[in-house]
Amino acid sequence: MSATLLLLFTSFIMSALLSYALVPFVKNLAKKTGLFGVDVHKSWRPLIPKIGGITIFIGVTVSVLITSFLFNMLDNRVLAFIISTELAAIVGLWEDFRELNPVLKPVLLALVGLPIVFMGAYYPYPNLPFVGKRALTILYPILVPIAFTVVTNAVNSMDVLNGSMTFTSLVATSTIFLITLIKGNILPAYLCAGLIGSLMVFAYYNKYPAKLFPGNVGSLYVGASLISVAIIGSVEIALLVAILPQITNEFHIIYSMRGLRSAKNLSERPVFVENDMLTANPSKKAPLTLVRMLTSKCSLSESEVVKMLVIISIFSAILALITEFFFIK
Amino acid sequence: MLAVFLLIVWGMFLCVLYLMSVFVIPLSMPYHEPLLISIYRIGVAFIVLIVWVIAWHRLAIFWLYRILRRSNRYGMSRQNDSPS
Repeated sequence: MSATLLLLFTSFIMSALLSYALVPFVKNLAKKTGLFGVDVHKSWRPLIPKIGGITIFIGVTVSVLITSFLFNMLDNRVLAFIISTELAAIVGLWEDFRELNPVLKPVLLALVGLPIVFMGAYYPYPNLPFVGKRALTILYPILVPIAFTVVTNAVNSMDVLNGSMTFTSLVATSTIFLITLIKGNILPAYLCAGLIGSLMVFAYYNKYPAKLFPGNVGSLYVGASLISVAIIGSVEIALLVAILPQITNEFHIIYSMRGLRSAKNLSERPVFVENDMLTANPSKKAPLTLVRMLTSKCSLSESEVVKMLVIISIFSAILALITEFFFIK
Repeated sequence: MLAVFLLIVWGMFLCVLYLMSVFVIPLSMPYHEPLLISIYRIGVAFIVLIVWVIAWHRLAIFWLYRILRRSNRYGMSRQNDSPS
């Protein structure tokens, strides 16, 4: 018990400290490469370094590597987690430098899941609601790349406001951490502990008013980490329920835009900004998003919208706990 | 209100998972079915999933425009550059 607690604590602290130490380096790197994003929801439109997600992915990866060596936890599942998530970070970094084709991106993100399949880091007997554990030995490896595309894009679609992706992902990661810990599944819990540590530090810099943006490198890395942990820990259904707000947001956007298209080609935006307040765009041509739904009743400030997104994520987390412990045999 | 929407989506998700399990799980059984029946099972499961996505998207559109209509902002159009 004490060894488990020490492992979780070491993973959490190490990733948090590493991420914290990396912040100045990432800010300098953004300056040198000119990777800044305009914070469009503020009237003064500040330029913010947009590759802050590097602090999360290096922090978690190094922490996982060190702690797995120290605690003798390094196996094919840990290596598959590291390789898959690194590949997702590379895709994200590529998109931060140069926008990817909207059809190529989901294909690349599906390929990112292949190390999990080829290294056998999955358990093809998922526990399904009402029907229990079922053997899906042929179908499961086919579903892994699809799940990677859906989850990484869903988390990516939530990165629209200061702290929106970071705080909602923190809620989802904490839920998976809690479920795996209660089930006594230590490996995924320890991977989650590392991710929580980095996300907590990053949240400090990404909260309103943001000093760092996660960028695609951050959001795709976090999405890949979440789905990798869920597959390794056999808590796929709980994760899908925990990130229902992100998934609905993603499909609303795809459906309203009639397919996979770049957001830059939109004729109308989902919300408009006036005096630092967000209001839903009432035009029928504007795509449907969670933020547009939240601001449809009245105008809200950016931090108010993020607070509401976090409340919705907590609600989804409760539904995930109910699903895992009451509907899955 | 969005919590109610999520509750509906969640309830539908559980039903969809059950239906998909009913259609897909026989594929993993040791006995051999004709290939056409296997393809039919995967096709039906896929259609169930698509119907689920379309159902809650339509529900969200209906809910959003009802609120916008109440606030008399429906149909107006403005340009801006917010990505949210």
